[in-house]
Amino acid sequence: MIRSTISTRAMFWGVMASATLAGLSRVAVAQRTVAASDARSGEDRAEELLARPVTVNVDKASLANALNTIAKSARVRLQYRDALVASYTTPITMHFVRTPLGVALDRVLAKTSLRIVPVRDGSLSLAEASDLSDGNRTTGTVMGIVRDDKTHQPLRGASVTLDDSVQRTQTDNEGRYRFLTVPAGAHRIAVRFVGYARQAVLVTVSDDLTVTQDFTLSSSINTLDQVVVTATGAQRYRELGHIVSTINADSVVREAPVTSLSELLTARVPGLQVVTNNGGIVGGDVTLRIRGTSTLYLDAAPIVIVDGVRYRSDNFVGTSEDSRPFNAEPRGPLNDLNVNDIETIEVVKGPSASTLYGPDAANGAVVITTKRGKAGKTEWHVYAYPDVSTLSFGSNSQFFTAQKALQGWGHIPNTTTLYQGQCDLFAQAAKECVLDSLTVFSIPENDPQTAALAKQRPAWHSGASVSGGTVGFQYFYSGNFDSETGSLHLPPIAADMLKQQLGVAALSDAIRNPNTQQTLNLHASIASRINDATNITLVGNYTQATQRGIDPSFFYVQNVYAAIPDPGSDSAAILRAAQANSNAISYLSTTQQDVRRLTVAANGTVQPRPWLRADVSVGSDLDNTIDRGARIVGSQDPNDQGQADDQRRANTNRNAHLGLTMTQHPGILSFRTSLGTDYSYTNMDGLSTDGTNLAPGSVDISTATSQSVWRLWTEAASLGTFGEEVIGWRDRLFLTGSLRLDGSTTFGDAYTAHPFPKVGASWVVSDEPLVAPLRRLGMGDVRLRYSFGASSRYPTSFMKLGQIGVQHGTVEDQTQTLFARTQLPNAKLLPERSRESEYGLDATVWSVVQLGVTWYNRRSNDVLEPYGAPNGLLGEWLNAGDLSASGFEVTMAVKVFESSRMALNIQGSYANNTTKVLSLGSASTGGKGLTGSAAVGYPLNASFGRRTLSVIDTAGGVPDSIISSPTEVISSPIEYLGVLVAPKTYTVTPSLVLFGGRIRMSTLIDGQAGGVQYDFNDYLCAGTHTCTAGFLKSTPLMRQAATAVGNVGDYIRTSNFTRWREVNITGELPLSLRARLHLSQAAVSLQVRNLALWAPSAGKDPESTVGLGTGSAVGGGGYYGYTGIPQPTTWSVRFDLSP
Amino acid sequence: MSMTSLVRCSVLVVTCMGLVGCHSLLDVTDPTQITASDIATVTGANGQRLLVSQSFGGDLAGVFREVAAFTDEWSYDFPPTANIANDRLIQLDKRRGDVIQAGNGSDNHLGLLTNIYSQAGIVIPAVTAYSPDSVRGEYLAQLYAMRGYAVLQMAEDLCPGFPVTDIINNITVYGGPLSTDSALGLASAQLDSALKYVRDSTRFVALARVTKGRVLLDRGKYDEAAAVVASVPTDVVYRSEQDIRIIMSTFYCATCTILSLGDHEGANGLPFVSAHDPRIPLRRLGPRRVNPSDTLYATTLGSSPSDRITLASGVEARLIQAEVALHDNSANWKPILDSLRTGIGLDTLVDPGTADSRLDLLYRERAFWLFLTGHRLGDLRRLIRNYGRGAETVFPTGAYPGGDGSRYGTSTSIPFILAEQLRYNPYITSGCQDGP
Repeated sequence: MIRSTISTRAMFWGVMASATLAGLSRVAVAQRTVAASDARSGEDRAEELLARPVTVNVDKASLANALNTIAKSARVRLQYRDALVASYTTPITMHFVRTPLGVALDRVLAKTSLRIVPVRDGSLSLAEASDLSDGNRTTGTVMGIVRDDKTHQPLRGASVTLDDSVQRTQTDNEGRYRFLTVPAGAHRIAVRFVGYARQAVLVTVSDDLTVTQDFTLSSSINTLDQVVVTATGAQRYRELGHIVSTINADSVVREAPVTSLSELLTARVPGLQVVTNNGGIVGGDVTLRIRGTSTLYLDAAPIVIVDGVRYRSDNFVGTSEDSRPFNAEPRGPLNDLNVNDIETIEVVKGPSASTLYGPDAANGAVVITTKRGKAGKTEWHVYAYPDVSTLSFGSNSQFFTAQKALQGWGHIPNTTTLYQGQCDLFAQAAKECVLDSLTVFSIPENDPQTAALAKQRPAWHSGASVSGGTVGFQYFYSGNFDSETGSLHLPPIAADMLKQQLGVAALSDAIRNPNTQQTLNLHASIASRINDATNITLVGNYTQATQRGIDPSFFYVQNVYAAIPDPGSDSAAILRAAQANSNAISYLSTTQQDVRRLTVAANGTVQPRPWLRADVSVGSDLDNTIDRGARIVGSQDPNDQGQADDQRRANTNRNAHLGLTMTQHPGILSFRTSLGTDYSYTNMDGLSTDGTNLAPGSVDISTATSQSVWRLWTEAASLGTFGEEVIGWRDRLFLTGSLRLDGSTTFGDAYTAHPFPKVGASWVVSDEPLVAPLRRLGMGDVRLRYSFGASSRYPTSFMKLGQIGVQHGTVEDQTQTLFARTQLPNAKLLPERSRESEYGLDATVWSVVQLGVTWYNRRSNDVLEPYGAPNGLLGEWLNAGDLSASGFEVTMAVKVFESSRMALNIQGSYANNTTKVLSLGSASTGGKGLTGSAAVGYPLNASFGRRTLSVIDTAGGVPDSIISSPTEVISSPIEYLGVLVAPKTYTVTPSLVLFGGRIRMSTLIDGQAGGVQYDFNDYLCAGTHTCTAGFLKSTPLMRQAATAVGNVGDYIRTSNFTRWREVNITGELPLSLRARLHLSQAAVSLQVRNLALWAPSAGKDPESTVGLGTGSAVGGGGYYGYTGIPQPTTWSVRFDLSP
Repeated sequence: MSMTSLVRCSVLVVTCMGLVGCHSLLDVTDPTQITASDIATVTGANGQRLLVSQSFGGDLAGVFREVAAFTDEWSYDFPPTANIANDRLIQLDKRRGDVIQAGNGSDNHLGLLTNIYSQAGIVIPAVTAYSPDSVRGEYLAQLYAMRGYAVLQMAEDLCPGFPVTDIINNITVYGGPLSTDSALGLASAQLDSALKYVRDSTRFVALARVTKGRVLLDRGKYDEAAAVVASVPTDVVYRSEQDIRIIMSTFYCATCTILSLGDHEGANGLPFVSAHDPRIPLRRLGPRRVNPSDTLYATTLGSSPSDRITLASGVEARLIQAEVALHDNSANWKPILDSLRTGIGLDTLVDPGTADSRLDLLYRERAFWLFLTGHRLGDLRRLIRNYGRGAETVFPTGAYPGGDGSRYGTSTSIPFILAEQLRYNPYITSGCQDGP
């Protein structure tokens, strides 16, 4: 084989120029340099020409007739000499539907020696192949590398097609692609990749020659020709009436400080909020919300689909018995998936989610595709990134909520006698004492042995993958191991006290380091091409994790203030006294969760005809979870001999999908018909055992003298069928209409399918001939879109059927099985219904600014709400009322500067979501009360409470610095304090590329605004009546005193923040060094996560929100949200090596 | 589209649509843990009855705790830093019914008793339908007796105007405000049903008869009270399924709010500590925080897990007979009490000679025999209602010993929390009126 590299652009123009010069009879191959702009313009025209769809049905026609029919369908002028085609007399039968002109012509001419040559004037001509090449050879090779235009880094996984799917491949780790045995002649090579603008070029292949065609792709927010994979198969973005956000996970993970899926999702999709319940806890749970909340009590998280399988991503199981033992922070199942195994993530936010993925997707869908193998040589990739995390507890530990012990010291009035007891505000007012000094003490801050409760803790993340295969079989295998130790640990002072209490010389590692996690991930993917029309892919993910959870009140070291020995005691003296106080630690527990999880999927594609495609996927997500916990130190009840809990759950998700897509392109119209059905089965089967009165010193539940056992059980199956029709006009206007029928057993034993419609429209305005002048002025793609959809949310089973509890106990001197109805049934319960409209605009201006704007409006009716009933009676569920949500999302990307050596880009997004309770329906009338605190006219997640307007010092007569009796004047009735989930979020992502991509820097800054949170420290301090105005400047003394009544409204603060989330600097090893090390790729990244936080309100990290709960987070002045462990700052160095 | 393709396509479409109708895919084992049909059995009905029986004692333990706090049985001690404003038991100890009724918390007293009443009501149809003939009557008697007991306790403890709410056929049927006597009438009707069904179960007969006697005593029907309890043997005891430690979870720590035995609490209180009566064995807790020279005591009653809470007994039947005898000016009151005392090695009583002092002595005996069994508040209110005693002569009064400078309130009954009832019960429009 002769290997050569030909400049395709030059060759293309050379062909055209030569054709013009030589007349129509003969065309000679030549290479000629032309002006780049002219070449580009000509390429575009020719490309457009050969891409035109043709629909042809010809039976036993002559070659001339066939060619003319094709040309007519494509509205193209085809020139040739009659003699040239007269010699071919074989009758031709062909049926093409919406087939690219170039492909149709190639096939018609396949058994001839004729080839098509574009001509400058926009027509095509026919020529002898021998005139186009040096000999009579028939095939060649096309290969090349796909790179990022800014970083010049190879792009792995880009989709490359030859002649619109005649052949298809993906780039390997080094961005390479290759097509073998490509027939000689003109061919169209197109490259698509998530997050980049599509590119296509025409190449001419000569016999036995290798044509090298490299691509450099420009990043893009949403290019209209980007392909997204929805439940109805792959669709171009321009056809969709709704927005789909995509994340190129592989690229992000390599160059951003993310170690988990939740970190990968954080601040990368406008409208998607990732709430970390306790950021500082390793393995802690996260909650996803898309466009806020549309329900009060049902699961408000979007569904997660991994390779077509429903993936359990949260701990919502629809029962009240799903909490982890000992209040330990729940572990987040979302992060069981290894981010290094993810190829792409698509986030479906709009009203189409439930149309595509069923009623459970009413909150949106996160669709994850894991990595697949690529045909070619075996490729290895090894990565490792050790990191160090630390929590910040300085003297201004405003983001940590450790309790403070306070002791007021005073003397009895008119004496020098020390007042025995707490000289608090009351004692002062009663003239029992005169305050002399105040001892403020916090173990985490004052422990001289550590000076902090949190240590810097290293973690280790490492893994490797191998992939490769042939055209017919590809594989990808990977393994990953993470070992992390949480920053929080038992302070030495507490450890000493605990050793005394337990009577042991050393504490176990589980007590000293209560928060650790080890995770092993194995991923395997094999893909097989059965024949030209059939492909099968099998994917498996296995996760094994062990996590020690932590109760946020782990630090509840009590009674220290009771041990403060003398006025003026220093920390050391206090600690010595505390050590002597055997009751100082009243409650300490350890928990451990062991998880084994297997997710398998089989996906098959059958395309018997170019216009017909069937997609089948079946899969299951199984996990076995064992939660064990033990209270190391019991309560202060001497009869309590300790407690242990054991909770075992097996979660099963099984689902199957069958989809059928038919496309037709008659003339200027196109039709895309999709039919499909989804089956989903969910089951949670578990046992929860509580054991009390353990053997002395034991944490083993088997030693408990008393055990209670509950069975945990939920089960549901659902089935849905959908049909969708997309009608296109001139490839620039698309109308979508669909109908879905869904039913579920969660709604009771009778399956009744409910229909839900969807309509959508997408109009690529910029393709209209009328706006062509604007194109010349710099306007790029401009599209308007609209989508409307309706869906229903099914109640969980117990909501309709009520609940009957079962337990075992000793009654009438025998162990008996006992039953009791614990919740009334409601046979009339309806599903929640919601409908959502979405309007959007996508625009590109001067090729440097890309803008996306989306408005949406959602309405939820028959929202489910529990009717609580007075104490002693049984509650039930009601369809309570109506909710609304509306908002908008803006994304913008700006190429600030770009050259071959340097490029500066800025991306940003802003999202605003506003919710409102429109009515509470029949539940608010007729005397029935609701347990939640949703109030008509106020947002969801609202907080209500009273504020102290003033405090009347009745004993002292007038307010002064001494509070005698905190009779407060409170706001009445309860007032709205704010919304606990911030409605506004924003991100800014600048990136800088230097030295032609060898050095890459990026950072991510994000924040939120418009929300509130509670200030735990102020509340606690004031609640002890010991604070002085000088100690807590933020809370007036009078209000502190009034806290005795607990007006939480006095402690509401803004939760606004701006966080410097990510910083990354990546450098490529020099080529010479890579060559010496035999590495094809080698990069080192310095990464920092959570580098800085700016928040106007003290109290706690606004992102460490406890108690967001399920759908509701119904505020109601609840006390949750006080505590929270801050997001740790993590420094890491990542090495990515490919031999 | 060719015919072949059309056929293939149609087959796929029909397959898709057919799956919708394939209900076997949607068969789930059990959409919830236990369904109503699962317990529509002999075992299910009995399991429900047993749970009500178990919770009967547990719920009453919470009620008895509040009665002990409200009366002189218990006293509270707390550190100066304690946040007592929202502490329900301390407000009860202070007799501040006004504070409780205005509160926003859950209604422990009414709620616990309503739970007994409504849950027993739910089980009655199940027992009627599924229990074997041989035990059906006994079980129904037990359930009706528990319902009667719950309403009696409401009438004795709560201020007039409280509702009695039931659950019938899975629907909540709210009750309207009741006077004390109306509630006692309702309790009486429930107990009559119990007595109608009961046959040879000594335990359930004792529960029904003693509770009915207590109702009649409260209604001033003394002779009927004596008659209904006459056949109850003295050694018969109906105990709850809960041991008494559920009430007596008293422990001591320097910073805790501590329950301790009352000792002349509020001047009128009985000397539950200083009497050193063997019916209330003592356990030293520690020094009082406000006045360390005082010592706080708990009782060792219930030190054994087998010490279950006594809900009705032959001893109470004799006490009822003694009270009727005293009311009827019969000299028999003292031999009845002496017989009980000598049975546990106590000396016989000395007749104080006057009617009032005899009544005091009788109620003192009741207080020691029935300590921590929820009788004390009913007794004190009966002293006011039936014997014309002044509230300030029977309830704790004067300066509250908590060190916070407050005084005892004037409530003579426990109120329900108005806000909670207003949210749910359409028949409750105002709070109850305190009174005997």
